[in-house]
Amino acid sequence: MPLAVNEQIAVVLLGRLEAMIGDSTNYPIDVCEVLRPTRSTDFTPRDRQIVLVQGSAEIVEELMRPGNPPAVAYRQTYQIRCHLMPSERDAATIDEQLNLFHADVVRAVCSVASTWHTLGGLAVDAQFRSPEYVSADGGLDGVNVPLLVTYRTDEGDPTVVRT
Amino acid sequence: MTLHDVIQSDSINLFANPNDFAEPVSYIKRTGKSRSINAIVVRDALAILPEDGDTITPVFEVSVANDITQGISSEELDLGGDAIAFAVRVGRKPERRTITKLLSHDEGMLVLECR
Repeated sequence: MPLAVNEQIAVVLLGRLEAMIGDSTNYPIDVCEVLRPTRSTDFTPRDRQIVLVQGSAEIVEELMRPGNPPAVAYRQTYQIRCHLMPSERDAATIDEQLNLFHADVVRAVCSVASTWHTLGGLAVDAQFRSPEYVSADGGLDGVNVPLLVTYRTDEGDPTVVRT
Repeated sequence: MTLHDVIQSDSINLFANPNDFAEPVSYIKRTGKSRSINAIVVRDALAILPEDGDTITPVFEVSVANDITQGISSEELDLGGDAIAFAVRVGRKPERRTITKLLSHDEGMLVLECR
């Protein structure tokens, strides 16, 4: 079954984030799991967990391409939600851990050096937005790392990548 | 017996009694150690996880005796990873759910939020 391009991009992103698991040498935050929520969003928050959520999408008129069929440009937001629940007895400051988590996630997504922004040739461009830090309110701490990915597809077939 | 003693005794023998209000669950510490305890589990509907903006997760209110053997002691509780395993829906297999908040506590009981 052909996957929609935005789904293919999500798979690539998931793979880059999953590469952090067990690789505490390169990614010292030591991520415990990376997941995408199911319909029932049946997951429980955990320390050093990443939840990849697809956000809003929009058509980018100025990046459309003529042709037969024409190419439609989309800009899709992916929310990389990083959860931290350190022990109450942990002496490390929460800001330090959040900064480390953010840095590790950005490095993991950009791990393919100069072509990271094409996400395996699927996208035209990708840009990080400002990190959004969340306060614990007695629950979990975390940072949301929004990633805007621009890609093109055939007008009549969102599974076909267009340059 | 003081009122303090009565409250503690009632929390274990009455409220957290599986023949009355409670059910058996497992308390899993951050370190991985676990023990069987009794708890009153209120299974609520899905709710927004406020720290995550638009993420929705099931939320549960779990009451246990404030006791280091038959419940969870307020001193030992670690909101950084302690969890409780219980049936998310009655009749299903127990699943591990992280304790995200200590909603209230006194000498007798702890009221916890699990997600």
